[in-house]
Amino acid sequence: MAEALSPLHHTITPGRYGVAGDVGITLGTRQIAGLWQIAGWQGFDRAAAPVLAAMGLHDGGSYRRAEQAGAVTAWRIAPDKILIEGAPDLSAHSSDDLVTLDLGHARTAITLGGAAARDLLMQLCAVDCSAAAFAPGAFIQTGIHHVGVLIHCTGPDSFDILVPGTWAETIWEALHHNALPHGYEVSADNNSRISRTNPT
Amino acid sequence: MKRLPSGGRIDRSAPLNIRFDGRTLPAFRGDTLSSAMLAGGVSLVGRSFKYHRPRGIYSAGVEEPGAMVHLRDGPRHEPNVRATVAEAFDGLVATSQNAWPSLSFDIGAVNNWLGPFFSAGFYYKTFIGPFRRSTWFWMMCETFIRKAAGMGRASYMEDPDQYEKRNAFCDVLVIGGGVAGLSAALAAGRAGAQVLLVEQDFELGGAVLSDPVGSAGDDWVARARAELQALDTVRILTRTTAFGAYDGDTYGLVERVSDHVKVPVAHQLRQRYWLVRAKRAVMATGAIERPLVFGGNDTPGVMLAESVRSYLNRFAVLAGQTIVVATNNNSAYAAAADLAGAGADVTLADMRTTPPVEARTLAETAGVRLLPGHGVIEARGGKRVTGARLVPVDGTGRAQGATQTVKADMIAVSGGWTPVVHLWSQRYGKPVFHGEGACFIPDGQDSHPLQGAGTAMAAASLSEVIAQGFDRGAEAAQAAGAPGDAGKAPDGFACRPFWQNGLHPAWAVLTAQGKTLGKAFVDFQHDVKISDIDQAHLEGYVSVEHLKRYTTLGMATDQGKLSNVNALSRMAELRGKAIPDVGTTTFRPPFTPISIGSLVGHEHGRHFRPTRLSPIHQWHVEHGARMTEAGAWMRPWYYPQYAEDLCTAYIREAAHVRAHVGMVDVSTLGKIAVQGPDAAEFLNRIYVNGWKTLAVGRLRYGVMLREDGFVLDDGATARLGAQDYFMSTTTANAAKVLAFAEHLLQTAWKDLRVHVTTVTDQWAAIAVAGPKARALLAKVSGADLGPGALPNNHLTHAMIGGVQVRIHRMSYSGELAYEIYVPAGYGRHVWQALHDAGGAFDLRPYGTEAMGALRIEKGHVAGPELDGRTTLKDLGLEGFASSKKPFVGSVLQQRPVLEDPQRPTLVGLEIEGDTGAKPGALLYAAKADAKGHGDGWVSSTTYSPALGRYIAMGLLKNGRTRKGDVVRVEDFVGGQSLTARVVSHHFFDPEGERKNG
Amino acid sequence: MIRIDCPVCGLRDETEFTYGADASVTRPAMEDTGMQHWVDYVFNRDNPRGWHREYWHHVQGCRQWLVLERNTLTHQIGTCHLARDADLAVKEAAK
Repeated sequence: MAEALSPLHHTITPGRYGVAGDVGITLGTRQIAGLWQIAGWQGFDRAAAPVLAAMGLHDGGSYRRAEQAGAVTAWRIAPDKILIEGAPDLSAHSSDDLVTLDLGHARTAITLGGAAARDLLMQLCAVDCSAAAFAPGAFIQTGIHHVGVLIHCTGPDSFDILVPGTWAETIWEALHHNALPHGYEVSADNNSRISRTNPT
Repeated sequence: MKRLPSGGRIDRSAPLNIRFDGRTLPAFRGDTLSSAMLAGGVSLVGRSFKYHRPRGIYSAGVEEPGAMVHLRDGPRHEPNVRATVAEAFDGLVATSQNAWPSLSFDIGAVNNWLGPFFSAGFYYKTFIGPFRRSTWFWMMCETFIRKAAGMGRASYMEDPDQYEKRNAFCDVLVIGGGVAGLSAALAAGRAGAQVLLVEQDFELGGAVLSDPVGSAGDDWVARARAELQALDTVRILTRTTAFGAYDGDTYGLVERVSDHVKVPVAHQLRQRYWLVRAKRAVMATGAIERPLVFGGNDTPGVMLAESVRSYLNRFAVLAGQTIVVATNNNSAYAAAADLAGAGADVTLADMRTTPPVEARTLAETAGVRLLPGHGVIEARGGKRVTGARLVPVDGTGRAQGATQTVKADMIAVSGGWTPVVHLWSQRYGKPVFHGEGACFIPDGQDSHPLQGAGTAMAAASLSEVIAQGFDRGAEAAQAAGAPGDAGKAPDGFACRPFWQNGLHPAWAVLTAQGKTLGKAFVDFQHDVKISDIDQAHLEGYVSVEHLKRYTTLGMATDQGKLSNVNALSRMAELRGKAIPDVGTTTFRPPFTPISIGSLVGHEHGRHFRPTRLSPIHQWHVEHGARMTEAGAWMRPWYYPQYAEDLCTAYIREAAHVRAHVGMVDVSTLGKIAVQGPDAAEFLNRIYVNGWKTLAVGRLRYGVMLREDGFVLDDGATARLGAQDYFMSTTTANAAKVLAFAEHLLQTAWKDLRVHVTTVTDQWAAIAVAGPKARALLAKVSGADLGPGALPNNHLTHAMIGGVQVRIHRMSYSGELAYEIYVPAGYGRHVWQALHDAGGAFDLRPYGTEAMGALRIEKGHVAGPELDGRTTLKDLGLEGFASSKKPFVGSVLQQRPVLEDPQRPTLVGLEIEGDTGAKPGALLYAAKADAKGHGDGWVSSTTYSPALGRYIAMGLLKNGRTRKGDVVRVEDFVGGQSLTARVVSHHFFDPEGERKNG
Repeated sequence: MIRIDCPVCGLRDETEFTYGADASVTRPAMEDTGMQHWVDYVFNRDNPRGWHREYWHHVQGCRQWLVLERNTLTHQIGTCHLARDADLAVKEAAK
């Protein structure tokens, strides 16, 4: 099987960028393993429950807080709609009350970390990303450089940014320009060529 | 003018090398350009806007109307910089502006003698009135007037610096780092609120900085600063101007990160634009001293009294030796006393006959010569004040006796103080009149999230300034939900006579007949004289808004910071009314000029807008494709062989597709997953054609209308599963169609159990077209793609290069063709696999230009035809519309106006001759005059390799009945005139045989 | 800057949204063939001075359509509901 190319495969070059001194930001990508959307209508939660339970999830979280179970993460991105990473093929769960959609190639995951990570986010999106307002486990859907993205706070100063693949390069460049004054690093162990791993 | 040997808030251990018009000025860190100019004896800085009169330094702050310069050179050159707020830095270079050939001999100064021709309403009267019917005369004159009257020159070079936008959120925004602002920040910070304190100066302290070093205020400010810095909820930004207050309690700030150094350090910003959302804000912006109006009051050497004091105490510069201080209030007494104390010879002319004892004592103790009941009626001197003509005045400022001229090299004036209410006014409109201070202040409504404090609210004493600041800060914190207690307000300290007290409301000193001696300016930056206001009044301008526009008063870059009250008082006097009855104007952002760069941030050049790339993009780039913009997308335009130009390349590529096989990246098509038990019903409603019968594994072309009955978009939709459809849209309309579908499903069609989700990013798409397409795909996939196995409008699953793909059989080019949908990450891999296997079939990639040529040959509509003005009938697509069901637009497409048989309809045009038509060219009957809008227009145009001639599509009145007619094709923009024969738009293979292979 | 309290995402800047349409008009039923009904729905608009109900789309967020109350005179923002719940919300408010 061929490897799935990341949209950033020729954009990302490991190295040290921007001002000298402390590294304020680390940037990279990570592979996405099985990204599925499940959606329904009235009675969605009932229809979704067995699907979520099969992945070890409880309720799929809230509009602001992701739910995590092992390698599976769920984001309730809209009413009656949950995005799940780390999911196996969910197509068999489709029914009159639930539709499933493979989005495994539709997003690219950019990882962001460092002491200045929150500053960088607030240069790019019009949402309060201070530690008090955006704690680990929380997520937001907002715009970066006019493109809708999902930002998940994975640690005190670390974030995953899920971006639509066709916009990934333009967003990466926006991150790059805005990160220069903080000094940033793209680590060499980043396998940025590959966009996704196959869960099966 | 001289620098004193000691004192001031400058760092004498850090001398700076700065130059103005080639002359080296003595400067230290802590200086501004203007303080260095005064220390270096520079009195003439620029020429005025209209009359090119000599102008010097008038103030020490943002209100400066005259001392504007070109700062820096090369690509960092910046015009109209106020020298009073330009922080001195090592290597600073400034030059004078608006003067030619030189600052001291300026030809434009002839305007000064032509003054009568440049009076109020000059533009309207001279150019608009007599030449009402045409504009040519105005256009001609404007060129010269603009050159003569004006500001500095902008640089045409690209700005090398970086700018950045930054969002911020806080509980309490405190604007102003003076005593009121520091008090507000202390109260809010102690209460636990998230506080952002911004100060435009590079130091905190506000008015305290104008007091002598070591005054009681210094300790107070130092204690407040230390306490604030210890609070981790308080962030202090200096060199930061709050320039705008907007809806939603948002505020625009500009932080000048590197304006105080010659070149920003590598990767550091020049400026940062902050967009702050503040639950509450305290406007502690202070007040600006007001000028007095008298003849020659713009002569270099006339300055605001408190500014002269500021230069003395903050920068250790004594700006004059023989000084006349003119005032109508108490605050100038401190300036007079400090100047006398520094060794100047000071005469104080107070328009009031009986100044308060406290003030008198201060002046007399310091050795100031006091002349109560006197005013300055004229400043003497040309490029520099040489004397002051003094005269006894009555309560209104009219001369009451003989004048006497005294020698003076400086006239320091104070007409009271104007609170800085700009931000409040931007947000809430007109401020209210405060009688005692004769000024306008915010109305004090408690409900406003933005509240004034301190001298911005005309506070009457220092203790009131502290109390107001502290109270507003504490209230703001509480309203924002801060948990803590603000504690006790800081104590006051000893200070100079407070500005607010004892103001006598008269600002102009005139002859007994009410005339000025010489030109007496109200607006220094726009050269508006008091006589201009008088003239506007004579001509019937009674509204302050009209007066402002007629005279241009207050419309310069300083937005009338100095001129407002003086102009209003003159209007009030002329109309026999009180100032508040005349009214006032409102302010708009920005408070002070801000650079465009700071607002733009990184969004310029390539990043002016985001760019969207196909998963196969990099292959195209690596293989020499010329790319073109299609909306946000970059698409391969053509793949030149050797040095081919566009025309040669696209004609070759299009011909190649019809002869062999080609492939084109169509990943940019909009792709929408339509899922749910009611998906077919949804499609049935949104498309004009029927969808209930489409079987799994089939696809169908569909057209959709807008609600108003015009065509919105077209494309194919495939049924992948029982309740799973895959819709494709045109590249241009993808976002519009998705938003429209979401709108319908979330509002009017809530009864439908359907979800729509974009999958444009999930799938790369490759169209393979040409007689050898089937053979090629059969070879790479090993699948049976024979006409029986995969007929037109069917889809199948297959493997190409080890990747599971979906093959849709449908044709846009008219050839035997397939669309291959590949998971995006494998898009390039599959494209490459096709390319590798394609050699045997002579497969070539083709770009959007060839794709366009092929579709025009076939007569398929695209963006140029789906322009929002065309109906199904106009495009010959009415056959698709179902009559058995309602659909979006089905009723409104039947409006009589859209049924008019004369409407332009889609036709083909065979162009005569060997030149192509231009899109947008107008169509006229062969024998008609080429006048008016014509009978239609050309929409798409190409050379057709299949027909060996230039063809075009267009919309033509009565097009259906004009086949065979010859029409004129007139391109008025390019001056091109052609003729064309009207034909069917199905130019090539009208029966559609070729797509069967 | 209008700030809109999206029921899904929270208080956000207007830059994340696009204005959609007047939310005070009701779309005729699909099977309605009355020309005037559709003309009223598509073209005829009040231009109120004061409170107005509008559809806004959270395109850079949850992609939900919202019904927002906005004061055309003061730019004040009132209530904000998901469009899918808006009828319900109006009924609740009327109670």
